[in-house]
Amino acid sequence: MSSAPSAPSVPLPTANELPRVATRFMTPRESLIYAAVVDAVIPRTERLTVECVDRIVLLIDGFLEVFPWYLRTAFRLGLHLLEYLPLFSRHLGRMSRLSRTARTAFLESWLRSRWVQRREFVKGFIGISLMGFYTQPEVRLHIGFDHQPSFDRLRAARMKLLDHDRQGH
Amino acid sequence: MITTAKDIDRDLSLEADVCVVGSGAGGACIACELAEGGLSVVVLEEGGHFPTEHFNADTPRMIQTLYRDGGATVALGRANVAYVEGRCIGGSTTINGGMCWRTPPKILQRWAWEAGIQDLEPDRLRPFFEKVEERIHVAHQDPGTIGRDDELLVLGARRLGYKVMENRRNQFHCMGANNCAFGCPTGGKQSTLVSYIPRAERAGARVYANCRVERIVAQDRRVERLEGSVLESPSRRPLHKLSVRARRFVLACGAIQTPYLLLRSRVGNSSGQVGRNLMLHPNVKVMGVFPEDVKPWDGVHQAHQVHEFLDEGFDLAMGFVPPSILSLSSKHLGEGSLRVMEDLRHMVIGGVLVEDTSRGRVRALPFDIPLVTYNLNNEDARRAIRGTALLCQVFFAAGASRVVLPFVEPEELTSASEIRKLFECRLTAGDLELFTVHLMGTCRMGTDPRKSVVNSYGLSHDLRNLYVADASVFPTPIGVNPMETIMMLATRCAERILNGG
Ligand SMILES: Cc1cc2nc3c(=O)[nH]c(=O)nc-3n(C[C@H](O)[C@H](O)[C@H](O)COP(=O)(O)OP(=O)(O)OC[C@H]3O[C@@H](n4cnc5c(N)ncnc54)[C@H](O)[C@@H]3O)c2cc1C
Repeated sequence: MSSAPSAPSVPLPTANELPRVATRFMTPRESLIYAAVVDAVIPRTERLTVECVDRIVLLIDGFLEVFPWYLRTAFRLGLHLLEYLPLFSRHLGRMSRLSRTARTAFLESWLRSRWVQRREFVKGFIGISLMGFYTQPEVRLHIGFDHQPSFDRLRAARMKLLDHDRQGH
Repeated sequence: MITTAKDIDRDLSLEADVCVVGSGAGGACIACELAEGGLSVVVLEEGGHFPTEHFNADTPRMIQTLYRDGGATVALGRANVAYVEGRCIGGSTTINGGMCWRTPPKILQRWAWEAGIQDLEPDRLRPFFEKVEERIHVAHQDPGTIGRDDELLVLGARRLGYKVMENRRNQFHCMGANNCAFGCPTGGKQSTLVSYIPRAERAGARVYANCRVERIVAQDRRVERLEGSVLESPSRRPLHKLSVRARRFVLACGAIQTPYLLLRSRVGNSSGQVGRNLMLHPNVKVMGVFPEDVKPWDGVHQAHQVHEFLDEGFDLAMGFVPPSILSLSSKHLGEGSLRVMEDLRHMVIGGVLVEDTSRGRVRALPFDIPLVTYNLNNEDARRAIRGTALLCQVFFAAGASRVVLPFVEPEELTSASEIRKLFECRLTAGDLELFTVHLMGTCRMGTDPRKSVVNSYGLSHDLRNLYVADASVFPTPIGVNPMETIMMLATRCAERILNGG
């Protein structure tokens, strides 16, 4: 975990400068647009900054494999729509060409819209990006949530109880 | 031994006395009872087989393997309702919370009045409930496994004088790992994966995973065979063809997939009711933030429910959700979302479950697309909002410093005196963040073949050898967790089949 602040005074990267990952179900262009969304959605604060955009893109690409064809298609079409929607906003640019601040502002405004359809449209993309973020080990450590060690302990404890039962106690 | 796609290298053609489709609450239960009753049984399950050792804390991976469509399933409407279903051996019981309730007598009474079903009285059903409870080991939770989040909910409710009920759960030495919804990592939860299915196999049932039924072929008011595919895992690419002939067929694919299969196959729908009457106990999530370290992930998923308002049509409970899943409904990006998550260890995540009067529908669109729609009506929205207000009250009574709400505005409350804001700001159904895990009622039972799809034993009014044994047969919502009712009805259906019915 590094702790670089979000430093809005320095020029922020556009999606073209984001790491490119070899996705199986998104085209390179789609993965770039999605990386721009993820980059705008995940937290970057002095308390916690984890550079994990590529990991999240790959994780969500894995989900596309288990999606039925119509959901996969809807997801990919949605990405193309997201790419062009900011052109019609005050940001006047394509999602992948905007600065991170502008991308965040655009997504935030749709998420907080009183118009249900707008909210619902971005909510899915934002939700799964955050899901990817809160799955990262560094992030779980930061918020103090790590389940796996307790599973291992509880598994062993239950085995002991079952043994105990078997011995007729 | 469960046969999976890896074990199958050619087209599959099977025969049995009974073919059961689905291995969840209804399917596994009926398959077990029929196999123990001496019939040859084949169980076909679309999802894969993942034993207990497979389950871990990698939540997204678990969702990809255990949930239908990676959990991305939504009922579209005025307020979309996110829903999830299991798709694996054990069906939704592999990913459910394990709370077990008998069908409330007032619901059975309602079924008698509304659907004309006279033979479902509590006394007559008791032996079936008892059998189910013995098979899946329904018991109260060991107090040592109850978490602080559950204690706080109980504390708040008792301070307000509300009726609190202790859950019984299908568990044996549950250790409180609190991962029920992503596969029990200790095997303590007695899902059908570790209870009915192994038992059915011991009685000779043949269980096939990765086998999807796609078509029911019927002739002269009888089902002749089922057709489908053996699917590669995880890509779900069809590998081989599948065909099953049997004397009787049981559909137990759940309340979305059973009507979908019937509609796709264009059978069993002379009433026009298949797919209609979808009910889903809509849920809203409310998070109480406490000054103390609650660690909501420590301890059993849910040990109590507040039943004070059951007669009003909703109940209150808590249930931990891991951060990755909680964030799916985040109202913030960036730092805003992190701030919420940094409070996770101080949170109690509660929910309001509404016994709905709204109805939805499942349709089969061309190109293998199931369309699920549901419009929350104003009455149910009002109850969800009132339930939210009461849950806030419970949290503040237990000492919460603030409560995070399931609305865009108001977003949170910091004291009980602010609760009235919920009624001042004219919230509507569209403002609610809804989800559900209880899907019911799309092939409802009843005595009138014009208004219902099956009789009270699950036998189709149209096809003489086709039964439905899952949540889709409910004529009304039941207001409590449905698994035990599904299993009770499936057990009763099995007895009828074994008696030659
Ligand atoms: C997260 C979660 C928590 C829950 N918590 C509780 C709880 O605490 N208590 C409670 O009582 N209830 C709970 N429920 C609800 C309960 O688990 C379900 O109501 C119940 O399992 C439904 O039983 P079913 O037989 O109708 O369907 P399911 O159990 O969903 O089983 C249907 C099976 O059929 C398979 N299938 C579908 N279509 C096909 C096809 N075409 N070919 C082959 N196979 C197919 C599916 O893959 C699935 O395995 C919960 C549900 C979820 C998802």
